[in-house]
Amino acid sequence: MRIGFRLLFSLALCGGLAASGAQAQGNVTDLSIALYAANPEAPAPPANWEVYRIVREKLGINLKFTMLPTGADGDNRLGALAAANDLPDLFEVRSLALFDRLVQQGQLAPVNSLLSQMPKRSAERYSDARRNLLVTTNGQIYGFQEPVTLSRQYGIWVRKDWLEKLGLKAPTTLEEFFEVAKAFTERDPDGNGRNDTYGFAGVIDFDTAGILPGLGLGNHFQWVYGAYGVAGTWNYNPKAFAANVREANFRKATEYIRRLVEARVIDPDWATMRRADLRTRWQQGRYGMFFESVGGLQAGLQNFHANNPNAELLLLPPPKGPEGKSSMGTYSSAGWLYAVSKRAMDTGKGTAIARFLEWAHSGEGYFLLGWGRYKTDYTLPNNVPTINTQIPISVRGSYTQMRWLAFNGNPLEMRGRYPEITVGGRKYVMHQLMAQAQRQGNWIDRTGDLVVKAATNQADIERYVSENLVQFALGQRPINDSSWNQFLSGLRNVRFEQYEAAAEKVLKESGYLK
Amino acid sequence: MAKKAMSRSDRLFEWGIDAFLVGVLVVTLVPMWYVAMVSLLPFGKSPSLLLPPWEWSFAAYAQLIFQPTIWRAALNSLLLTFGGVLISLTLTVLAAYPLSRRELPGRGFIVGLILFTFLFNAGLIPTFLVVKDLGLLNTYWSVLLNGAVSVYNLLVMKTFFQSLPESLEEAARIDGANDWQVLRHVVLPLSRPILLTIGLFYGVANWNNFFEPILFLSDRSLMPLPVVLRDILTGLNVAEYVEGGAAQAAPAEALKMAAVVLITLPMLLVYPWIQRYFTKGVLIGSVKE
Repeated sequence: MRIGFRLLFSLALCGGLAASGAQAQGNVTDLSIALYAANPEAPAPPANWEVYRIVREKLGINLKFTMLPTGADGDNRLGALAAANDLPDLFEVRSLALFDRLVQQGQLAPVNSLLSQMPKRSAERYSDARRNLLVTTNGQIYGFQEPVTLSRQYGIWVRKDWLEKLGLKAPTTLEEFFEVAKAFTERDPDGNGRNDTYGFAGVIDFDTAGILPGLGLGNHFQWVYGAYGVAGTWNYNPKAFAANVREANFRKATEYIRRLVEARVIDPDWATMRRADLRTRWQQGRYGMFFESVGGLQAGLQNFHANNPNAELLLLPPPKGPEGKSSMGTYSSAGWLYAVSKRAMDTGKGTAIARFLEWAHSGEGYFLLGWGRYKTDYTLPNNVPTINTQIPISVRGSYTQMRWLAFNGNPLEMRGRYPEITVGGRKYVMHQLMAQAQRQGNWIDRTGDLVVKAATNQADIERYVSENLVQFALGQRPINDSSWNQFLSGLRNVRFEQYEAAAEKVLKESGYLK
Repeated sequence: MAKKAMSRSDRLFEWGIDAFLVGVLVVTLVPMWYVAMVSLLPFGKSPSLLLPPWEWSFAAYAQLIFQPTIWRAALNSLLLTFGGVLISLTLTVLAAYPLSRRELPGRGFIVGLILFTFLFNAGLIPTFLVVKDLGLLNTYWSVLLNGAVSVYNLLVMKTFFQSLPESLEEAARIDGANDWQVLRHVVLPLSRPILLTIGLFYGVANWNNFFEPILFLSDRSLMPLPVVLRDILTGLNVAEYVEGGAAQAAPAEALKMAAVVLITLPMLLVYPWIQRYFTKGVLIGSVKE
């Protein structure tokens, strides 16, 4: 009898253990996450990445992380996955057009119900109702719209050593800017006896890394339009809403750029150069002033100082226009965007997604995803995450490929990411420069631009405006009342009025235009 | 026989031809030389066609070659290239040979069907769906099998097979050879130029394949060399928010050009070995006598 009872008890125990094991197994949720590589030089995290283990043990999530190809290839891949109803559970979207399309196709799930399941993250990242409007359709929020952390890091850098050599002061107005640019072009500031320098260089660049390019000549010339009070695409005037291109000052700003071109104080290749060319040339020491981001500057400093051992750079405030206005340009407060596939929500993975995102927001998850392996990839002197640069980014970067999910732009993080560096005997405190660029740029928040849906012929509109402005700026077309009016009336041919009307409507509805 | 003395006008004409060809050679070589020179550019120097050897820097090559991902990617590329050539050549030969035989029933219809795919592409999404439904996503089969047969190459090879003397095949058949034996012992040994030429076409296409891997493969460890090199260089363009190690080691333009050299060099080395068959293969395949 006793033997029988023991046997029965043992069997029951074994059965219970087996059942509990099965239950634990059953509680692990498979979660696929696809993000763009945070460190394109580095491979994906290895299979034995400790995050996989920790997330499984602590969060009950079997994480499967894949990296999307950069640029438009990533959009193509997401589009193909959507068509195959095979979107990852949680994924990053960088194209708002693709995001809108996925919403219309019913591929994305509303995430309203998840926000309350990750209270800390939601409070600090997704509590801005106006920003959430960017991803809201029919009252439902279809994405986790992150705030921007590295916006407004651009500016005009001037060669301080050249200013001193020529006995000039840093320009503060457009007129002074012109005179300094002329001197840098004509007075041989590098002293090599050759006429090989230019006063200024920028390129036609529509990259939206935290700033908004507007219609026309792109980011690098927004400061001119800002000096005339017409930076950005729209005037945001509730009484007479219109595109800035229609403003009289828009023409004056374009005339100023033409003046720079005609005086040959701007690199004559500006209209065809790309950002990489610009970077190569300022690093070679060909420009007295150039448009660049703090991050871009950091990446090129070594080459710059090798070429120009005695050089010194100064970050200019945006030059003031005739009416005293100034702005380096417009920006959006919206950063990365993450979406949840409808399939993931339908199969009950929403809670696991919220659990993972909340974990990634702070504490252990934040440091593991954002900074990698403690005491290997980074240390924490004075609570500042400090990267171990002895380990190359190509190795270290594997462990921080998901860092955008974690980073939130707090001051310590910025000090860690943009540290103090010494190049060519000169000290650069990169996070201070970043803050300076943000502070002194008089940047204009135009987050509302992102609620304006692209017109069906958006490419035609952009091409028309851009081509005409390039022709005006290059001197291929005269700028006078007749030619300018002809340009403006030509906007009708690309149905610009409809685009403006749609923009006004949605901006008013969303509260960006009051 | 003594060479007939050339007249002055003939000599002038030949010199003119020579000068023109030298010009063509220079026009061809200068960009390649420029790429090589820029890839050797050290920090602190401007790109130049005449960078002296004592200023050459191999930092860009070292930076790329010692990336942890690069060797795995090179191995992947080799696998995709050789595997792709093997599969593609086999399929192309097996399709081209029967289609080159006049006695094949429905030959015109089949060729028409094949030509239809040449003129009308299914598009990205349907192709992706087929690959997914076959369970090939994230495997090399998705890259190797998708587009394994090029219609252009198939038609060139078919025309080549048609140009072989039928009497050889008839002789083999009289000796008792079946279709397989004719193909293996008669047709293929005579088809070396076209096999090498088409093989080179497939090899170059597979070596340079970029789009299909990024579309069908999600595991980064499976990615071939062009994708990985592109990823390394991407960091140069997004320095606003991405930490790049490569840019700290060598000038950006040197890194780009070194990547061009690394990706081009293997194919460039293969060409001279196949060159003598190359012209013959393409010409014979393209002309039906």
